[in-house]
Amino acid sequence: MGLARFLVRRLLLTVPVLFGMSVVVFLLIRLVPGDPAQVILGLRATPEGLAAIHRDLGLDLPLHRQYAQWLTHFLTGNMGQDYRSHVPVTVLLRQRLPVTLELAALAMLLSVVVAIPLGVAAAVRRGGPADRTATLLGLVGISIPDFWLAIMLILFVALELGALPSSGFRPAAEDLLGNLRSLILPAVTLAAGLAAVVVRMTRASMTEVLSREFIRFARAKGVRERLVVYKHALRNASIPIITVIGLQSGYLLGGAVIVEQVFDLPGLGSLTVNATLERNYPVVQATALVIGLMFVAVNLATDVAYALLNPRIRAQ
Amino acid sequence: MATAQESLAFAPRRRRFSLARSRNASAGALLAGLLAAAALFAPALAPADPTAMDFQAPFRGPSRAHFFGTDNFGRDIFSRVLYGYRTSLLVGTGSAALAVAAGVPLGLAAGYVGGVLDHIIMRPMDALIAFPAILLTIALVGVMGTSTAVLIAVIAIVYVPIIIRTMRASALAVRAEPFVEGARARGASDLRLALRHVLPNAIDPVLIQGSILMGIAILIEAALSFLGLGTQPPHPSLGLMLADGRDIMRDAPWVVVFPGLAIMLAVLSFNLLADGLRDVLDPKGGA
Amino acid sequence: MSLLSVRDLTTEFATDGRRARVVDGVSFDLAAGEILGLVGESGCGKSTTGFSLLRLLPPNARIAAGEVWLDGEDLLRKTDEEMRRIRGSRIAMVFQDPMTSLDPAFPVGDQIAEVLEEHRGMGRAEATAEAVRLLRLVGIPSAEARLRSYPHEFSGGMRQRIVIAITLACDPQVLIADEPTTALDVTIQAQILRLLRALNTERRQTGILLITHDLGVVAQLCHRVAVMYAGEIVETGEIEAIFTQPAHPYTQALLGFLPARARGRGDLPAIEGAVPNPFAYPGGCRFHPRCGRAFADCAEVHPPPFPIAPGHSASCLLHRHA
Repeated sequence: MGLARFLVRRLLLTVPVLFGMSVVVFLLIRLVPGDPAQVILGLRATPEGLAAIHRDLGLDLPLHRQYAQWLTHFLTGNMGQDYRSHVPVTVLLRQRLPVTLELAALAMLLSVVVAIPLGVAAAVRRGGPADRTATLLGLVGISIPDFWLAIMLILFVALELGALPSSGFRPAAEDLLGNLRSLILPAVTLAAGLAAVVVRMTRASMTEVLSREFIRFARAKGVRERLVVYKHALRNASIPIITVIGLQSGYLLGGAVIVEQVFDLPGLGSLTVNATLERNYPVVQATALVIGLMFVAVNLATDVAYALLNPRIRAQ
Repeated sequence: MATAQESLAFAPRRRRFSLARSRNASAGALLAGLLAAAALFAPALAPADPTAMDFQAPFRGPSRAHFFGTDNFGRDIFSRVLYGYRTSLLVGTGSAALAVAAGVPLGLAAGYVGGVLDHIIMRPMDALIAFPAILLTIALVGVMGTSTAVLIAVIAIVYVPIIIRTMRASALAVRAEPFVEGARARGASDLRLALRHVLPNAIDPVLIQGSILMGIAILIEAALSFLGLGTQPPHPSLGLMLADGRDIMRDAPWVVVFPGLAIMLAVLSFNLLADGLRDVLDPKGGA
Repeated sequence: MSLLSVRDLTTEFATDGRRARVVDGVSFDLAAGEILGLVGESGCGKSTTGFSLLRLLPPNARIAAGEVWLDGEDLLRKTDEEMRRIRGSRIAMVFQDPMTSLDPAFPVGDQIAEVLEEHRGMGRAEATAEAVRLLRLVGIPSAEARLRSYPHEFSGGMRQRIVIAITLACDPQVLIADEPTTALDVTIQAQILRLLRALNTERRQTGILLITHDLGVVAQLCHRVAVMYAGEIVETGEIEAIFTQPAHPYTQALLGFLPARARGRGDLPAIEGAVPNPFAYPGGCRFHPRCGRAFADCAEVHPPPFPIAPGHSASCLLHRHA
């Protein structure tokens, strides 16, 4: 069918992107000035240690062989090890990934739940209170530095009011309520930027769709206003909204890097930052590639959603 | 008919460029101008030396003497914010200028020449753009080292794909316009066509992106400095001030409130400017 | 008593603080089973009249005065919710452009079923079965299979048939058709007109208000005509009377350019002068600046309708003493 062909073509298109990403991540460590092994080990460098890292990273081989070796290792789940703790990177990823995913999912949920109804209300009643709120959120949300918003929330909500924990993480398996409480402020922080973009897009897209003739025809049919707005208009406005949510999920993954650091959450983001600060390059490579892969996957999902929502593409 | 052809062929670049026509644009431009002036004239405007410690006056709240209060070393926050803006705007304008300077020729070449060259330029860009920007910035800074110059270069590298894509799409659209065909028919060389006819008519969306990029770059500089990966002390940076202030913010909230507001104001001004530019340059919307 | 009775309907648009009476004191009647043509140049307020009856106006417009009696009830006194229940069930409207009337995101079967569920309380299965019947009624081949098709998979003429199926779904008492064939090819126009006429002969109880600028369409379909100019109805009468003995100079001008034998495609001919701007109607008779037979009083006195013959009247001072 048309949809299947579209999906296959879209999947094939991601292959060169994945190849390019792997090259970028591979080259990352080669950008290190001097001997990466020396930088990784720093003062603890011994001839044996240096030789071991050279062997691990294949630094003795020609560049294309290095890449082939690195990619083979990576694809077979051997992502190297943390040179400080000697923990395999895969183990670190398995510990950290769920925290980041939960945070990103909560932030996405929060921003969508706030931004879409607000954007719809703004478009339905232009110039009304919802519209003014939406405009303000749209402008402030994209301009506010997320780490500063985090600090303000910690200062005024966590420390002054004592309402929520200011940092740290509780696993959901141990303490579900504590888990949510530990993620609320980080999720709010992360959601602000996404909500701003989604509210702008929802407002613009809904305004455009509500002026279309089929909306007036739906009203002439005597369809209830709720259905006119939420079924006919929102469905037609949803394609650009979903596209922007998908594209901005990269922002969530990127923003998580900073927000986790501020709130001291043990996710992929804080792992990346700390590994970067410690010049722990194999960990940086792995997290960059994993976050990049998730980003590509979300973009793929966005395109699929786009196809499912747009009967014209589906029919092709 | 001939005159109509003629006028199409000579289509002058219509510059409806008037910032006054958009309230957002004028507000953004005014604000950005004020901030730039504050940064530029910081040495004259700042009431105190930003690094001067005053152990007689630590933890002072906002007052006539210290508009934004003082930190634990008695340093004047207002003066430090003014100097912090110097770094913010240096990184903002530097990286945006670098990205535009590199991205415009590449995007023009990809869009105007097309073919193999298009692929050679665009495929690596697809790979760069496949990463969340802040992540790539952190990774690159991590391996290339932390300094203001590296930061400018890295932000430019991370955002150049967007400039290239914007320029390419715009060049493709303009290339198909009849006045370009007209100029070609009169024997203009490709280089001349690209530089004299396509470029000036295709640059508007790039200006809008450039303005957005200024805001983003200011945010990234602050974020990376906050994480310890950007501007290093003793250079002044708003992000660094926030990182330092975290330890004392319960006793002196102003040490984190004002630098953060200052960052937001700067980013807001460039976002307003971009919104306004979009209204003025591209009335059909889009981008 | 007539089915639909419109009295002094006045609809105002406000732009930049200025007001325009796009519909200004319009009155007419529509009987069950009757097809009434509302004719005029574009911008005369005929479409706004149609949308006013449904109370579906843009945010900058409002009905300033008048009464719209449907079967003994004044629609202008209904609450919004009461009015919604009337729309699509007792008064339905076919829009000008079938390419934009249907929601592109839903299958057509869903869009027909929606009206039935909304107004007749049908369940999904019952509504779907009824949708098939309606599609057959308006002549969509292999109706059952096409329920799941999307609007973009139909031609313009087919889409207009689907729109008509939707408007007929609840057996409305009044059907407003706003330029239903203008956006279509000539051959398709004829098909849609034949469909409307066939439906009218089959269901005698529905009154149709046909809004058009096409006198050929009026001649083919209508029983009576109301001619509209600058927000007002200037002449009404039986179709024969209007076409053979038009009383108002405006109607005469419209018809004077119509070739007597070729009535098939009669877009309104151009009349010298411009259609007046609703923000600044001329004083006296609104047609007088363009009228070949105007005299001094025409610029001073605003003419009310004068009877010409039973069922025929014209708002022109030439008929003051008739």
